Amino acid sequence: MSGPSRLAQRLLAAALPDASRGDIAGDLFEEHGRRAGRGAVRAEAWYWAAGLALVASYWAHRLRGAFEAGSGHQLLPARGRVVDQVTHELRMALRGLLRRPAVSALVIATLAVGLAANAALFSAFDALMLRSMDYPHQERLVRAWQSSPQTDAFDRSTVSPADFRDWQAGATAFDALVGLEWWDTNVQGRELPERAQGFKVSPAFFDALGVMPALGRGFRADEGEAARRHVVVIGDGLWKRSFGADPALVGQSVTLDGEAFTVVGIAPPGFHFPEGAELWAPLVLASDAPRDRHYLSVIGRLAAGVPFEQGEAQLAALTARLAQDHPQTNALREAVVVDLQRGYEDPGLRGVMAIWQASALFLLLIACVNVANLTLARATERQGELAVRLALGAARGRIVRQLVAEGLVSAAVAAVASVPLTVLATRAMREAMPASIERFLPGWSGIDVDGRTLAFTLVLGCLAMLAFSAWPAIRASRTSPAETLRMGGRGASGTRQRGRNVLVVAEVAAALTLVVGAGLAVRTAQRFMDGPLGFDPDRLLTFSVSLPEADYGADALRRSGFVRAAEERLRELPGVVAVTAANLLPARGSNSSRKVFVEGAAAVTPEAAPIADSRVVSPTYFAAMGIPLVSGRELRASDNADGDPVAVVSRSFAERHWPGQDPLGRRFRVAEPEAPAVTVVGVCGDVIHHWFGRRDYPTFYRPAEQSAPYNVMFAVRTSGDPAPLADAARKAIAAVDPALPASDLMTMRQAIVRGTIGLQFGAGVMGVIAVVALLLAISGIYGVMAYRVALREGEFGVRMALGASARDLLGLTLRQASALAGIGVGIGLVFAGLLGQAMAGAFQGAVRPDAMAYVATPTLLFAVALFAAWLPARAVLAVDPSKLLRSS
Amino acid sequence: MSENIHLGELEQILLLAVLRRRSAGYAVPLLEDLEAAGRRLSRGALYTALERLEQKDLVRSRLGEPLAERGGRARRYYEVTADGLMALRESRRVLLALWDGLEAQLERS
Repeated sequence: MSGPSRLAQRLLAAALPDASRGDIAGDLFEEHGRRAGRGAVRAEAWYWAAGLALVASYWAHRLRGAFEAGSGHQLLPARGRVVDQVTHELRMALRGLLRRPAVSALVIATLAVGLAANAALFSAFDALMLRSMDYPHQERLVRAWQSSPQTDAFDRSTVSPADFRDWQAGATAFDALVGLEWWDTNVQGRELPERAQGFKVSPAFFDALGVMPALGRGFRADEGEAARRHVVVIGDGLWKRSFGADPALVGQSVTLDGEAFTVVGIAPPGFHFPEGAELWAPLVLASDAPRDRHYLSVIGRLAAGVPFEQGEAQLAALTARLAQDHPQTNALREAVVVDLQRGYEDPGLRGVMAIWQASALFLLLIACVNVANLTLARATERQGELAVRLALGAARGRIVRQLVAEGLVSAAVAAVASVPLTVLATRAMREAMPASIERFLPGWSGIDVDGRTLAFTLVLGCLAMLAFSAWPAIRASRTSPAETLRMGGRGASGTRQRGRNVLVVAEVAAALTLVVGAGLAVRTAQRFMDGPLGFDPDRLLTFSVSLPEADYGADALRRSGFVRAAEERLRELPGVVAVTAANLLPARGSNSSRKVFVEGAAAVTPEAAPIADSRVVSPTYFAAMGIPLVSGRELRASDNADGDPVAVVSRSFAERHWPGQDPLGRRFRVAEPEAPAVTVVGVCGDVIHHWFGRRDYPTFYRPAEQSAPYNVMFAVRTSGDPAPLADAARKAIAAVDPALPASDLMTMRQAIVRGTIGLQFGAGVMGVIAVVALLLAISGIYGVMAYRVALREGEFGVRMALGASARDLLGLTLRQASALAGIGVGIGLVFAGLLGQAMAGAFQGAVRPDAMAYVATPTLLFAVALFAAWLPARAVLAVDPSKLLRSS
Repeated sequence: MSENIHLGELEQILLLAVLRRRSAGYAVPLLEDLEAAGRRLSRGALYTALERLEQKDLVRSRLGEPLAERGGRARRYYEVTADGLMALRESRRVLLALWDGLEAQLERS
């Protein structure tokens, strides 16, 4: 027997705080168990209903008890009446809602959808931003960088091993400082070799995070020494995937990059820190570790009781001292410390989440406007009744209270109804994310509906309803009874009309903002999928091979020899048109960039030298990838270790460094000012390398024979579908070196999809919000317009009797509607402009607001608003004027 | 104990239901018994009424062992106290006295 859902139980426990009432929860649990035999869903529904009823009567009882207990005897009756009044009001409200089931259902459904959208996105926000990591005493965990003045884009740089060692030696405010080095490695599994993401970490890594391996142990301090470093902790996923979840693996030896490592532990399930890691081995810091190469990420655990600021100040002081001691390398470097969560979240995520949440709030706004509109209509409908009651001396407050009570009851019902919607939405979000991406999104799998989300929903729902039902209610109670009664109870005073006008305007504006935002997101995602990339992405199979340093490190010729041999093998496969290799292919994630020192340019310090993307490619690269040559020549086989160092540069590289001049024959140096000069022999077109990357990012291409890479990516151009070639390609690589796995096999199209998944996902969410918003807005606009027209039936009748044609009146209605829609569109455009700017910022230039968004969408919405006004007006005008007159 | 304890109808019914279950009555079967006897009661009303009876010392309650079928929570068993019995007796006496001789009239109508 499974019992009621945990969510329901937790809610019940929270709502019945009295510890002694555990027996009541037990009664419900027991009855649920009896009913579960007749259907789990019905039993669950029963549990919710019984629980809610119980909670309601419990609190009514408690409240009454509190009033009675807190008051003297004389006051008891009066106070008691307050509670009775509230109960009475709520009961009346419920009855009022039930009397008009269709309208009530519409209001509640509208609000529930709005609340569910907010709650689902809040739960994403909560999981990704507020608690994406969950380590013991996480408030003491930090990430530390150094600032690096030479990178213009992102003011954070990893730390050099020598600096890190000095930090470790001096940072007394920390229990541990842990260095992490990226470590892609080839794992020889039980069957096939596999490429896995690993990190070399300081031995204190697991202790610092407070994470215990599920099996075995973490690292001992002495395993940070070179002689003892061959131990490894394996991630749960890799353990299950490649080693059949064999618990005896602990203590055994595995082969990583051709070296034997002893497995000392298996990480707990779900532990991927950092960045989707599946392997951890000790980081060794040699005594002569470099100070000018920055490749360590640093995390730290503050000592107990040490405030964040003190740790930050200490690292800053240590870094300042390093800048004095080593001006050559450290002159401009400063420490940057943030909490661990912020340190590892995607820098773009905050903006994206903010935009989502803002969109969801706009959606809720539209839902609320619909609700307000219906409340207003209801208030107007009951105006006669209200006027009579006011005239008879009923307090205005009481009337307001009654209308507000209806709002609150609707809000409560909508909040409950939004729970299953939210559950569905969060599940859909979780499942829409491919597992291969999810690994890199700490917290994604934790997206779930919990107490926080529900509390958020409830508060939001009640606030919204309070605001949007109190306003029309107060408005309604301000009528002059005499006037209303004189007008037969159907008076539409000017202020009321203005109120409804505000609603239409708000609705048009909010919907426009959302639809424009979604349009921008969707088109951006599309452009990345289909737009010009600078190369031909079709019929291209790609994969990568990592050459282990143990076998290939000593000799660059061995590496270039491997590349040549593999290319030859691949070229022989049937259906292959062209083959090429490079250190990095476009759309495959990582990047490599180097400082460049251009001859003849104003001298710069090494710290301030400009940066360009660096690619190392085979001579066939440009032809095989379909990258056009602009001028000069391509690379040749003769550009080898014996030839002069040469490079082909991208058009943007040439324009940046030699604007208006002929770049051919110019020379530059890579990485350091004393490096051998490289001569430009050709200029090629620009290429989009990764989805955030700007098209004009300067790039230079050097021949693989002159700078052989350790990571090689192959691209195989085929005459037909490239996917079936995967197996043959794998075998071709194995034929050259059986120890090397070809990993990450996918077509270039697949790689592009993977690279843009974040953007597409964001666009998808925005799209769903926008469609819902548009539907709600259309129904709302129609509702308001229909109501306006209905109120004017009498006036129409009189006008027609006096000779106005139906056409005139239709024109009149449409003119008024277009004035309102126009104002709404105007305000909406302002908001849409702001949203566009925010999106351009959050998606780092990937979103480009365009005229299409700001012309087509407003036109569409304007037309919808007019149509919504035309429909009811036409219906009324088709009626015989005498009937209209009589109805007034 | 004073003699002027007057049981409300609900109180009377509940006390009887508790009494029928001897000391093994707790909320779930009590609700069932009441419903079987033709008296539907909301759960909240039941708990409130039981609490009031307990405050008046007409019933007392004790917690049983935690049970797996209840998600690890205990049952609260009720039994009628001596005062409760006295009150029931009193109300039965009053009712019977008033009923006496009316059967024929009621049968007729």
